[in-house]
Amino acid sequence: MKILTQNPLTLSGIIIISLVLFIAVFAPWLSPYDPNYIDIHSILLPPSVSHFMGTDGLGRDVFSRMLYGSRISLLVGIVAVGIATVIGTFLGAIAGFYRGYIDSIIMRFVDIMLSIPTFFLILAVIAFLTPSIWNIMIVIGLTSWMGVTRLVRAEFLSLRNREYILAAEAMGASDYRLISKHLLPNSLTPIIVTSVLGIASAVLTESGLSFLGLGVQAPQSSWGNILTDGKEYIQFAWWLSLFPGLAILITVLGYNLLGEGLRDLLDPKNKNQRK
Amino acid sequence: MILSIKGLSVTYQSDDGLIFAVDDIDLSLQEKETLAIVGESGSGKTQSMLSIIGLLPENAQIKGEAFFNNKLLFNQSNNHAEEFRGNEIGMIFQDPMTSLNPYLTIEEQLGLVLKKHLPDEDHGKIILEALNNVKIPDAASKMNQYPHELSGGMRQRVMIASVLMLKPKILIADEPTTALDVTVQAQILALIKDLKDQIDTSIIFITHDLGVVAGISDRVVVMEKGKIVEEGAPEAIYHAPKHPYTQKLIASIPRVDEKNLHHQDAFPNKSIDADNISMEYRIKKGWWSFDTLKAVRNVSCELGQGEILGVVGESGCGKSTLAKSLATMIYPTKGKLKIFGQEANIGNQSLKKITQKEVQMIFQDPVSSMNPRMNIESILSEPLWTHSPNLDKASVREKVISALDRVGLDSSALFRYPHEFSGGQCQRIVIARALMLKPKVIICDEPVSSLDVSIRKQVLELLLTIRKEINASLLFISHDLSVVRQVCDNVMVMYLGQVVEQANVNELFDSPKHPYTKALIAAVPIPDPNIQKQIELKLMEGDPPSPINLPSGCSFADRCAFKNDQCKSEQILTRVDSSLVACIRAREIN
Repeated sequence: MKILTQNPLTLSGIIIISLVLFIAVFAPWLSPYDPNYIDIHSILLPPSVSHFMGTDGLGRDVFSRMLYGSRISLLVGIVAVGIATVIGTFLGAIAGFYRGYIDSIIMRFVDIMLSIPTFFLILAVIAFLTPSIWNIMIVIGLTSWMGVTRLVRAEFLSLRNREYILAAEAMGASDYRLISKHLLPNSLTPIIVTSVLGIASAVLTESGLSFLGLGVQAPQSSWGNILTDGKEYIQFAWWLSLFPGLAILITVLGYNLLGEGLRDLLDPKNKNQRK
Repeated sequence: MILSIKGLSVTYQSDDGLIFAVDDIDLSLQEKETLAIVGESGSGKTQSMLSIIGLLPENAQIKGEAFFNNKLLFNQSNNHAEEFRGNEIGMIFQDPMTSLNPYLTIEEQLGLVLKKHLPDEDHGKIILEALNNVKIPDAASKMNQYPHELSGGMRQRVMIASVLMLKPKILIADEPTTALDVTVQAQILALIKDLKDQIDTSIIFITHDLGVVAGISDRVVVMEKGKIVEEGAPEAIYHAPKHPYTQKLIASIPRVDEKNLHHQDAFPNKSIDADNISMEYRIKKGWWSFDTLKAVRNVSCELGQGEILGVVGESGCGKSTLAKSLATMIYPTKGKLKIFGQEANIGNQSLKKITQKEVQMIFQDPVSSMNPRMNIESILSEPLWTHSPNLDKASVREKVISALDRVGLDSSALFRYPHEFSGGQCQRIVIARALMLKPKVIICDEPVSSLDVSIRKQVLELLLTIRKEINASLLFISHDLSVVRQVCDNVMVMYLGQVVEQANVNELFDSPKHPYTKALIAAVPIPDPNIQKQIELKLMEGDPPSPINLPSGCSFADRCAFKNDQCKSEQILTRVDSSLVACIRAREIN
């Protein structure tokens, strides 16, 4: 753990992410109001002691909505990246291990996927399906695995010629064993680092979709749709856009810092210092 | 005195306290002297020289002082080393490929140096002269070539030229021949020997190989763990070393000119029998066309039960491809290969199962031969689990511990990771892994090349004892002829995928028959200044041709001193005494 806490940047990444986790888990206890309670008497109130982040156009407490919104951001990030990592690692491992035609087919498929602007692909898919949080997570996951595939494939290709892989192969280790015991564990570092960095971009994509009204549907709150509501009042109710914007920025930054820190931590050469 | 160093220490701050890379050394260099600094990895030989040219990393702390021609190079508070770098003190490094910028032609590279130090002179002329001085053939056309178009030896010549064209007073050469093949190494050593007499430059030659400097040094300094342990004339150091470390170092060098006394000749049971096998690769040339690379050509060899067969040759001669085919990792494209009496081909998967158990491999770099994320117990037990998955845990651990014990390590190693061991210990663990299944054949691909000289001997002895214990056959691949001489029973010499000579070890080294073998053996430096200084090297010129689109006839003919017109079209295998020689004139020239 020493390495994680030694670097102040990594440490702040950990603190940010732990804070977001804490908020997401304890949102019902932390929020002063019901996030969906409409109070016509307190529309568009600026931040004050009773409403930390003011109220929105329907008189709902922005602070409470923000706390509940963190759950969506977190969930979308983790599930979408989980799907992308599993698909990406699987295809990348097969391409990098077997090479030849299989590799060519998988990589050309990756090229095709990459040539489609992801955001518009997601928009198109969402347009056909009912926009719900689960659909969003699945669609983001299904359209963002290509980076992981390329990475795992490249890692496998370079590891393939290492002497310990040759040694295991000469000794008769099966393909499955070679992949699961020798190649995957040694490619884990970049996979984990890109996954954590990928969460950041998934959070951004979800915010973008919700902002366009195709993401999380009202009355459920997410940072993205709070931002959308805010755009109508941006000239006289700055708090509606500022706080969700800041929250997204800080969370994305937190994941990025954590990702960088993990890169150092997962180097096996540091194993002793960790004990 | 052109250089004097007093009380030099180089230290690094680490988590475990201060590390002394160089520990209080005094050193001096006379004008026109060639000084050899000899030591193993971590002895501080490179660190001490980097301090002189001011190229130490920023976190290094220097103590002591150094003077160049009575001018201050550095002391505690001032560091003027940079002002002398290049024009007064030049340095060349081990790997000439990485020392040259791949994007610049030779003329452009060297021009950059001149632009800084001699901006007003005719650069083309200076460069051409410098290239001619290091005996680069056809220097004018080489000026416009890129580094990748030159061979390793030529690149190192270019590096030497780039330093010498500024006429520095000191040339520091850090392992300049270590990355080169033996015959190329001999060419570079001969060049340095010539240069010594022609120019007014003192040379500091850093090396781990006592043989290399025996013939060219005026004085030898031996370093160990940052300290100078012995200093003196080469005759004194080589023949009457005083310090125990020097004695150990000298004793551990295998000699190519000493008979191998424990070799065996006859091995009645054959483990492997290769009959005229070839291995060809197709290399993509364009979208639809291929070139054929012949990595191994018409090789016939036999490996008897308990035999150690040496395979010798320079880089790219097909040694490793041959080894892979004997482990059935690849299959010959022509010819018949029989392993344990069964024919090896892609259809024979039952043989593959057998070889996976009975043929084990040991590679050059022990650290990268082990999965860095597995501990020693998992690494050593892997072969057992693979071949007998039903073993119980306790008996596996017992076997692992006994294997560790056999290679001289104890059970405290079980839960540690490869990077926690030294290179020598790692190679022991790799050997232990190869022994787990009690194989009949062990293929050793340069097993000691990456180890320090003093550790090599122990590892080799370990290999030999173990071979005796389990009566395994060893295929011993090496470019180091001295090691091969002391270890192997029979030897085959390969050149461009072909076996050019095959004989028992003493026959081959005492009376080599093929012109290539002769040149190869003559090029090995002998760690004895009396012998090495007298040897007038008959150098082999040029470089091997590309293995793609080989010329007809004898592929060595272009470089051969004995060639005639017939060699270009014909090549036959002849038996001379007990050696098999692939040379049409073998009988005439011997």
